[in-house]
Amino acid sequence: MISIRNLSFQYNSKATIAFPDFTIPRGQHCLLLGESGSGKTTLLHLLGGLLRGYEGSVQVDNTELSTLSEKALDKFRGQHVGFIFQKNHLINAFTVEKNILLSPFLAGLNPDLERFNTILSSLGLAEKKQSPVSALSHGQAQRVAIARAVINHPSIIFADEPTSALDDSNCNRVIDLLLQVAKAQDTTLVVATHDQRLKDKIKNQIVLSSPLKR
Amino acid sequence: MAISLFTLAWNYLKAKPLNTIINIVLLSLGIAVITILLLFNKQLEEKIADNTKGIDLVIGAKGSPLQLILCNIFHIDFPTGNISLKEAERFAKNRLVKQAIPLALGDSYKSYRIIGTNKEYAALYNAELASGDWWGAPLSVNLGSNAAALSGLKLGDTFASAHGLAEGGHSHNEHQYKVVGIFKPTHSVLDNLILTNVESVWEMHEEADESDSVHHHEEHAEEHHAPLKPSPLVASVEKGDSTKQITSLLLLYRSPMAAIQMPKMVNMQSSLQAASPAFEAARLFSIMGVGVEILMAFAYVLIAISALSIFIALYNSLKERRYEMAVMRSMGATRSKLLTLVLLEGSLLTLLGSLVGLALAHGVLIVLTSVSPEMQKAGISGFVFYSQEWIILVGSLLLGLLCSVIPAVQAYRTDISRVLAAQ
Repeated sequence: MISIRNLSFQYNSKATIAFPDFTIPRGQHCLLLGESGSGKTTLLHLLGGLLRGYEGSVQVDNTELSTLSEKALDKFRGQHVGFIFQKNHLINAFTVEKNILLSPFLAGLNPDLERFNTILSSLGLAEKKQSPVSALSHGQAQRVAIARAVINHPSIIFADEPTSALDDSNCNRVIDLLLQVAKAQDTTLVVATHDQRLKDKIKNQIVLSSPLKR
Repeated sequence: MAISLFTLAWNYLKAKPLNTIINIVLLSLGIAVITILLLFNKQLEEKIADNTKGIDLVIGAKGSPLQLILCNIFHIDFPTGNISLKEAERFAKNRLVKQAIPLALGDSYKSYRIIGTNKEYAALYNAELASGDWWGAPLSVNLGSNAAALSGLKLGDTFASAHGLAEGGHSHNEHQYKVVGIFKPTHSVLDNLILTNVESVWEMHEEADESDSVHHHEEHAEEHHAPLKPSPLVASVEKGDSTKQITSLLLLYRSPMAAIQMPKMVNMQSSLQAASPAFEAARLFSIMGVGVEILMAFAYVLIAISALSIFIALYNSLKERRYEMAVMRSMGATRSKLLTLVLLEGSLLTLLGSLVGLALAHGVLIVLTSVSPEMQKAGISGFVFYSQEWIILVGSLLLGLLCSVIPAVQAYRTDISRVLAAQ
């Protein structure tokens, strides 16, 4: 569950951005819509604990994020949250297997190999386990990124513009895959995007207007 | 393979093989030069200390004191000349002298020097017989272990010595030496020598000089039996014999006082000179030190360049990996985990470099000693390890940490949100 109230964030001494209050119940997927510069990414980073130092309240899984120390926030991210970015940002030096298992390692969790194999085969990556990520197609790389985001069994997956760079058919394929994985893993999906094509896929939507400056 | 910071760092190094290899090669060359110098210097110092042990002063003909030491202690340079036995006896009897050992040089066999001396000389180096018996009869010799192994001479063999100390001198074919004993290895200069008594060396040369050899031989043989008052240095000769000569006299002091008085006494009173092995060895080392320091400086330059190269490599790859670092943070990695990862990468690189360098240094010495008999003669080995090599290992680890500290702090400070938002 996600809930924000009176949330604002100060970029620098001049620019401050405020966000509308909202609550996303557990299991209900949500779109964060808005034009470029409307603060979608900032909001997503605040919700995912990548940005600290906000005014107001951000509660994720019943935890007020501002009460967590930097280290506790790292741990919180590792155990409760998964991220998917527009670019996949797999680590080229590692194999597919290492890229995915990096997630539990960095979060300080024991790797669940059974779950790893299940996820890998459900995403059609079973044969690619030992491949270097440079040998993957774009679609395969995206699936590795998705596997990496869900391996730790997060309660929420935040996706930042996962489809904006894709053509229509790929856009559909990716959002369907995300929804399917979210359903299978019992995970809430929060997608920040300006991609209008996603409007039909996720009904629950929060629209960020032009930033409210003060 | 389970994931650990170590395997991650290793994977990063493996992912850029050329970068990694050039950095390891650069560093290992620097480390190897330093290690070779260390191994060489240390072993040389030890050999010099071993070889001069028990000898306080060398008395010989006037000339270079260093030459006197090199010739009579290390047996590498040529004699400064001869001294008369009569004059040498004066110092041998001095109350400050505990022990005096005569040396008569002049001949060699296959470049192994034949030393006319007495058994006290062999005792200086704790020589023990591996086979045969001690020399006694005229022209009987004992071989040092190297001299025996490399010259191919065996017990009971006879050989003609060559005049002079280098190979290819005029050989004394008239009389032949006979091998009666072979020493165990002593790891000292003795291993490269052929020992006999002083009389044998005299006989060899007098024979060569005299035309009426038979007559002389009879006379000579009589001398062996009838000294009224034997010389303290060569018992078969009459004390005060003014015709006999030796090359040098090795002295062992009775008291530390002698170290002040004896050299003065020798240098002032006579046509002789005295040289202290310890002092001359130290002087020799300070002369060689210049060359060693230049090589050392060269090695440090190599290491500094490799450190710079490692720093640049880490710095650049960290710039490329800014995004990966941020993604890692988003997966829950703490700041200190990333800091450790980068430090580990740097120190792993330098540790590998120094391990390769140490192996290279020992390898080079092992190869050198196996192809060069000179190195074997000097007693240098590639299989000796010194505790200083641990210092080199630890030092290179510190170097790795030093090179990676700036990139690591950058990784530590990564502003995740800003890096991720900048896509």
